[in-house]
Amino acid sequence: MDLDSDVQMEDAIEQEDELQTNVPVSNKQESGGNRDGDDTVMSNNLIAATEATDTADQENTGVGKPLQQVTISTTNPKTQINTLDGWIQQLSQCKPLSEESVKELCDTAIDVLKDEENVQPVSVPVTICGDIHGQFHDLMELFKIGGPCPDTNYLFMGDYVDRGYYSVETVSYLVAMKVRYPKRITILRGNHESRQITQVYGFYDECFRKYGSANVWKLFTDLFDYFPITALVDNSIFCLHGGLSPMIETIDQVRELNRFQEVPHEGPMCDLLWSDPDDRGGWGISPRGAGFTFGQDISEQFNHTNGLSLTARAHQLVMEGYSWSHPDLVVTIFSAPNYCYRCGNQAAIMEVDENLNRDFLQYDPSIRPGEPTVTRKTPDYFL
Amino acid sequence: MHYKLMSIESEFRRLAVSRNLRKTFFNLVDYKASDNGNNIPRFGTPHVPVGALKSPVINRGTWLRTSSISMIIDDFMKQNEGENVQILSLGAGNDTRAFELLPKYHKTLQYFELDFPDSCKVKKFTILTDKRLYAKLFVEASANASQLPTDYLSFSSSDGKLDSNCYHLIPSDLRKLRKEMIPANFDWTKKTLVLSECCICYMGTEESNQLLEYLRKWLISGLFVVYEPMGGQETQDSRYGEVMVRNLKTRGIEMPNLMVYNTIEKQEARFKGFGIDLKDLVVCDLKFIYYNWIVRNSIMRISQLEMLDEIEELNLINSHYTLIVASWGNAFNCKLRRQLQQH
Repeated sequence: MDLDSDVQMEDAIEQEDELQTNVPVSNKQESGGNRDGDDTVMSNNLIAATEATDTADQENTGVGKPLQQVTISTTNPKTQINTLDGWIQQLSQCKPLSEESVKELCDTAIDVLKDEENVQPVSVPVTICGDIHGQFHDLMELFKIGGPCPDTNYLFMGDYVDRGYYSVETVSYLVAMKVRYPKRITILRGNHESRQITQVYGFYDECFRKYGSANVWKLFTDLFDYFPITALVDNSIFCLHGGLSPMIETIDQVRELNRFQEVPHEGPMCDLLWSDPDDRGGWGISPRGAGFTFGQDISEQFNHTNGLSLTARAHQLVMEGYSWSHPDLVVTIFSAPNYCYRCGNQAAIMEVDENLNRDFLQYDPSIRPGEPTVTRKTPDYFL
Repeated sequence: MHYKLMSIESEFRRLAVSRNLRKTFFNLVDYKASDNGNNIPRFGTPHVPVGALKSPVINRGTWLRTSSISMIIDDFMKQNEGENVQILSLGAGNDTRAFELLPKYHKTLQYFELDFPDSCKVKKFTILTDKRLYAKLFVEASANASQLPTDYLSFSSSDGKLDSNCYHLIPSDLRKLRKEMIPANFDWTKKTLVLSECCICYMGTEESNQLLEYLRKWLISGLFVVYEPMGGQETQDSRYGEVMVRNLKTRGIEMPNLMVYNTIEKQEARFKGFGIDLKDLVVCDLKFIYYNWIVRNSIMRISQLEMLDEIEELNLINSHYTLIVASWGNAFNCKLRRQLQQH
C-alpha cells in the first residue's frame, strides 16, 4: 500500500473553494414567464405563485442572507419560491445548505415525489442523463451543454451520490430543482440512492464530514424511498437506472410495485435498479451480486410487449458517455466525465425532441478557472 | 509507524505524516473526532468506520495483485522443489511476502530485499520490535536488540542491514546496483526470482532497463516477475494514462515509464529486448488475469466478503496494470501460463 508521505493533510478538503462557478441556471429570467405557471405545483399552498414574483423580490434572496432562517413552510407561496431560489443560488456555488434547510427541503420534496408514479410519465422534448455521482462541477457543465433548467426539460436516471466529492451539493441541488420545477425535471432512483450502498461508497462519510453527524444522510436516504423508479417518455422510451427484471414482463407490473422502501436485495425493484444488458442471450447472473444480465432476446420481447422503441438506462461506465446494446434497443447513458477523477472517460446526455429524434451530446470534465492545481484528494491507485 | 516517523527530521512534517499513517491503517482520525457516540447509524455495522477504509474497487484490485503474484511464486517454488533457490525483491519497502514464504520454504529459499537505506531501517526496526515478525524471518533478536534507535539522530546514524540464515535486508540504491554491492551469500548461479511489484516503474526508462539488463546478464538462471501500471493507448474517448500521470503528480509521484511502456505489446518488445525468448515470456493485463487465471470459486468467495458494484471501473483499472513473467536459463516453465495468455 501507498505510504507516500507527501500527501497533503486531508483536512484541506474542507476548505471549499470560494469559486463562483459559471452556472447558467438564472432563475430570474424564467420566473416571470407564464410557462412557469405549471411548474409551481410543489406543495398544496403553492399554486401559480410565480406570476407574482418580480425581479425585485428575486434580488433580495442573495446568498449573503441567512438563508437557513427563512422557512419554506410559511403560507406565503411567494416567500417559498424566494427561499427555494435562494437555496438553488447558494447550491449552484457548490455551498451546501444548512441542516435545517435540508430538513425543510426534504420535507417539501416528499410532498412532490410521493405523488409521482412508479412509471412517471414524461413528455418530449426532454434531455435524458445518466450517473452523476457527486461530480458537482460536471453537473453544472451538463446544464451548460444541455441548456439551463427549466428552459430544457431534464430526466435524470439516478446515482447522484457516492464516489465524487460533492454528493451533498449535487443531490441537494437536484432535489431543490425538482421542488422548484416539478414538471420540468424528473429524478429517478439509482442503486446508489440507498442506505446500504451510501455507507460503503462515500455519501454517508461526506454527510458526516460536512455536517458533523449522520442527520443529513438520514434525511436524504429517507427521501430516496420516494423517488420514482422508472419513467416513460412519450409512451415510447422506457427509462430506468439499471435494466429489466425476469419478474417484470409489462410496464403495468412496475406500476403495481410498492416502491416506498429501501432498495431490496432481490426481486423486481432491485433488478430495475441493478441489471445490465449483456451480449449473451437470456437471463444471466450479474457479476455485481444483485440484479441480472439480460440479452437481446429479452429486450426485443420487452420492447415489443410494451410498444416501446427504446429502453434508456445508466448504471454502467461507458467510455464514450453513451453506448448502444441489442443492437439499438437499449442505450446506456453515463454523465460523469472522468469518473472518480480517474477513469478518463467522456460523458454524454441524450436529447429527445418533439418528434422523438435522438441526439447525443458528449462532454469532458468541466474546467474550473482558478482552481488550485494541487487538488484536495487524488483517487487511489495500486502503487 | 513508530520508525517511519523517526525517519523524518521536521517536527511539522512528522505530524502530517503521522495523521496520514493513522488514517491509512487504523481509521482513527475522522470517525472518533466527529462521532460523539450519539449518531451511530442504525444500518450496517456501526463500529466499523466506513470512511477511512479503502474503496471496494481498490480492495479487489489489491487482492488480485497479491494473489496473481503469489500464484507465480508458488509455481516457481513448486517447479523447483527441493532445489536451493533465491528471491530478490526490488524496492521491498513495506512488502510482507517474506513473512509468509520463509516459514514455509526457509530450508531451500534465500530471500533478499533491496530498498533505499531509510526504508530498510524502518522495516528493520519494525521487525526487531515484534517477535511475531522476526521469528518468521529466523532473525535472532538478541544480536540486534541494542540497535533500536530512540530519536531522529540515532535513527539516521543506524544501519538498515538485517540478516538471518535465510533473510537478507540490503540497503541500496537500485539505480547504481552492482554485483559488489550484493552480499556474498547471494549466489548468481542459483535460480533466482526477481520481483518488482511496482518498483522499477518509479525509475527512469534508461535506469530501469539497465537494472533489468544487468540482472539478466549476471544471473545464470532467472525469472522476472514485474507488476506495474501501464498508461494504455490514448484515444479520443479515453485518457486514462494522462489522468493517472496528472493525479500522481499532485501527490508528488512520478512514473516515467507509464506512457513509454503503455501497452502489452510495448512491454513484450521491451522484455524480448533483454534476450528473453517468446516462449519464456508472458505479458498479461490484470483484467485478463482476473477472468482467466483466478478460479471462479475464489471470485465468488471474495465477492461475498465485499460486494463490488463498480465492475466496469475494476475492469478499466485492471486493464491498465500488467503482470510480466519472463524467464531464462530454465528457471521457470511458462508453458501453462502461456496457454492461458491472451491474443
